[in-house]
Amino acid sequence: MTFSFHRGSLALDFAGTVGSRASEAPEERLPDADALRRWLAESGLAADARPDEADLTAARRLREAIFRVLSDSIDGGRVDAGSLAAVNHAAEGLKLGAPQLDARLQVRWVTDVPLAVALGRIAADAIELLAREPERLGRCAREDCGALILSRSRSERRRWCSMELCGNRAKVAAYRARSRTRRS
Amino acid sequence: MPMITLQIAAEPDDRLARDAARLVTGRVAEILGKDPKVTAVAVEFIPRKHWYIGGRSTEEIGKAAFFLDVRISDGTNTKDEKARFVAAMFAALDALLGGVDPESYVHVDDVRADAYGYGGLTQERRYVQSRPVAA
Repeated sequence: MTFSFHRGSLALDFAGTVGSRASEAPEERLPDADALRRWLAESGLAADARPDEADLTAARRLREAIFRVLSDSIDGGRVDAGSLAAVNHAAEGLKLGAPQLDARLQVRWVTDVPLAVALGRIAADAIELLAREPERLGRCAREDCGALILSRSRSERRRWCSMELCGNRAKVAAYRARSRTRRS
Repeated sequence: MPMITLQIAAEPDDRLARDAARLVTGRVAEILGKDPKVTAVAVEFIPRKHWYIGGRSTEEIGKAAFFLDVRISDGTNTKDEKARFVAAMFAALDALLGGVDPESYVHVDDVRADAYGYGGLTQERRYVQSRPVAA
């Protein structure tokens, strides 16, 4: 599987490693440690990381905490304290490494604990999303999707996580529904 | 070369043990100049209810704590290097453990080279063997 990075931010793409969250059968896109390794490489967070089962467990725990905190923010309700603590704790991982530029101006994170730093960067991205403009956060409008997405601005609301996937599917479904109505 | 013991007041956690060992090994190499290939780290978890600070358990306090003991050959690092190491290790483990009690200790233990060694050789013996023989 090739991962998609179209939701508008790193933390949202990470939360999107569970697909079709709003359906009755959500899809786990990080079924094993190797899938996490590929996601980290494709996202550009950690090209050489070698996560194990314990890392996978920690990554999934952070993913669900991020999803919960961002969802609570979108819904305007009380933010789950345990999830908030998990996101804040993971963000401490940023202190365990430092970004360095090489001669070609490529950024490389220098660290002894690449997984902790990668998860820290994801957590920090979630925090930044909430700190900047939480009003830009939303959900994909396709019924079964429910992916968290970021709009370009407050006025320009985004409806779909991906026009090619969810947008088209929703339009086809709507067209079929209208056709059925006309026929009946 | 360093034999390091790290005790952490926390539930046993394989990932935490691995990351803590990597962090300590990295800082020991970077700041104290020790070869990471011969740096040994033993990580031990102590239940929070058995680790007391000021008469209160860390479970009661609600924070993690640690004790890091790094044995190095006497005279191989300066006072400033050791001070930098103590500061860097506290900051790194504080971040890794999600906030620790300030009463978390780092001990750079200067041991006598003629009383310490690995692979069956004292560090003094190793040092003498590495020196060129005077003509």
